Amino acid sequence: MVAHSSDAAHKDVTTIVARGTRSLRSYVDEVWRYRDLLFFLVLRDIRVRYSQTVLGFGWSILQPLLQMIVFSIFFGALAGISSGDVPYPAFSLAAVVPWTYFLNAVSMSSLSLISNAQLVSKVYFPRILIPLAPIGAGLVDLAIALGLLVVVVLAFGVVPPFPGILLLPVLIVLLVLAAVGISVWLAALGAQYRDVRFVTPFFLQTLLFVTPVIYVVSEVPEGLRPFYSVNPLVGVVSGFRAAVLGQGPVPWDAMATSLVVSLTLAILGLAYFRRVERAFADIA
Amino acid sequence: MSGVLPASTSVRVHGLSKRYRIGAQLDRDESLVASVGRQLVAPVRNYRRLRDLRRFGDDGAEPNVIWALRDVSFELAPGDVLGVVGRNGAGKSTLLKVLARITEPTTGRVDLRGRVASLLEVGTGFHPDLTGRENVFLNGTMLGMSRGEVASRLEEILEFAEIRKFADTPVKRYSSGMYVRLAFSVAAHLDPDVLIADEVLAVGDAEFQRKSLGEMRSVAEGGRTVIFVSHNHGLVSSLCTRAIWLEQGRLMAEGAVEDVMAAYAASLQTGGAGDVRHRTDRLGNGRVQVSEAFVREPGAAATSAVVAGRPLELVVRYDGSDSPVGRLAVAVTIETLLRERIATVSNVLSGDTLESVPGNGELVCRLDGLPLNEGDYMCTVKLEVDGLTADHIADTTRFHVNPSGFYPTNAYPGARSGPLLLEHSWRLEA
Repeated sequence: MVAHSSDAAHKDVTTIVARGTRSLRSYVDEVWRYRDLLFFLVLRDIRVRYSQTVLGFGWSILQPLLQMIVFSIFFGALAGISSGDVPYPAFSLAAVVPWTYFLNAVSMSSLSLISNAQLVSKVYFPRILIPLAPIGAGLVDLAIALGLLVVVVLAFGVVPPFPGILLLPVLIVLLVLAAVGISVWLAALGAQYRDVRFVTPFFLQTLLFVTPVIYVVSEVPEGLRPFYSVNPLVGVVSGFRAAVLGQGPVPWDAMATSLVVSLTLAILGLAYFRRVERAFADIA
Repeated sequence: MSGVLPASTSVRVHGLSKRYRIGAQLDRDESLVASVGRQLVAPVRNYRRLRDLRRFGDDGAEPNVIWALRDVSFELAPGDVLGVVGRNGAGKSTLLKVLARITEPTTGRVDLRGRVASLLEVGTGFHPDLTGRENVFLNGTMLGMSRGEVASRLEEILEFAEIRKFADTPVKRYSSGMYVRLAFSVAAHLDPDVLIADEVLAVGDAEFQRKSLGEMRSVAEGGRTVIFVSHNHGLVSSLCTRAIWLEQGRLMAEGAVEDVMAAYAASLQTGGAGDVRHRTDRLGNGRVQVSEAFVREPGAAATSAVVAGRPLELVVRYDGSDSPVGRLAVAVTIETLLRERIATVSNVLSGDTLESVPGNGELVCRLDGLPLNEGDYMCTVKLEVDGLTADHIADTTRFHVNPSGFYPTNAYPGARSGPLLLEHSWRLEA
């Protein structure tokens, strides 16, 4: 085997088609070889998401903004839910921005193998790229929404703390990891059992209530917190509040739990995905 | 088996089998109570059924299991162009899907040397909202190129597809011709070592087909290997150097393209002719149906051997109704056994109206001098009543043509010169 260099290297590669799962090494190599495809799948999802809409990327601002207004009216003003020492709209938006990213990423990713069934049955490439693409594409919306968050927070007279704000990149990594961990499972299951299409909205709605989006973490009884933090979004959302609003201490333990849970979900999910992906073309 | 292919081999397929489970018949209920009960346990049953789609027992003799491929082995060398032929459902598409790694084999193994590109459908992965240029990148990386490789071939790809002017237009605004040209062009510039293609040459206008064919040939002449499925047998014969013939998943013949195609054509000769009352593979509303179709010389009995240049009658008997049925149109298409159409005759073309015809009867078409070369031919018959297709049935009649009577010289040009004999004369003009 000649050293891997230039365009001619592939001539020495022998592709073997046989039953069974290949080595992890060759799988990872292959995903790496197709990394440019991931870029273009992400680009496709970005371009397609707002095509033929009037507002286009305006939706990535409107979605969290409207959500914030609804939450502020019904939970903040009418139900009188406490937002601690921060005005409810800013309090709410700091959670709604990561939540909206998560919601859209998981919703689209969980259906991605079904909506791309045509691809799966006609051309080979590492299937894992399909559910990863919407998760990557959502980052553009997230970036725009973060800009909105900063503007709204400042407008309500809250100054993001320094150096707490520097945690934001870490929190975004945790957020993406949580989306990957859950989406890989839902996508793989959804390709085989279309029930997932009905389960996902309910699952996400429940997740909203067990995540501190409309209330503060301190409302949750102290003794239940360790179990509560198993939800990987708890660390992310309370981290966002600490980083952007300076509300509460940085939740290091919840963030660590989030990392461990998301990584475990992602690794097991990828293993499951690899085991079942061989059959996707036959059942799509 | 060793994982190393000898240099003289680019593709090795060994003992390849693929098993599918086809949907089992769903249960039927006798009563409402039984039906309700079944609905209650439906989730459990559905779960088992979905799960079992991918599970098989150890014995291969289960019901609901079909072998789309069964113990197929062959090898190809660089420069080989392999045609895969066989009837519908013979396993051709499954073979390509396994080779392209879209679906995994049940048993057996395939080794492919170098970069493999598969083209099972033109324009897979194209997104209508993306521009031509963006789709080239998306499609190219999907077929295994890096971004850099696509970029370095972008101009060539747009040029070949003749859409340079529209590179930044969303492809949903393309004509279907532009769309397929671009899609083929991406695949053609992949520079694969092994190209796996399904029917993709049947795209675009004649000029583009010629260009695509040339591109396929040059892929092979560059020492690459091409595997190609097509129902266009003429194309297989002219493009391929080797062929395999599949029948119900099994390899029936493998070798030089002439030998395999001859064996395949011979297999097509067996089969019904004349009486077609038992046939169910028909289209149409059934107002009247073809009961019998045959050829004869005028005044003689039905025959399966005719002589070129002599008058011939095509006879179609039909029935279906005791009362008159209205306006009838009849068309007979003469084809080679490889389904290449030679000519169609119909009363609409000849201007012979058939109004208020009886519900059953015999239609006779007379050809004054049969202009067919040596070979075997078959007929497809179509009947229309009042403008609606009543019956359409393929391969009703087969006959062999002896060409020696056509030319005054009694000479004939040989079976490979083409299916038609033309009356002609030559002169010298100085």
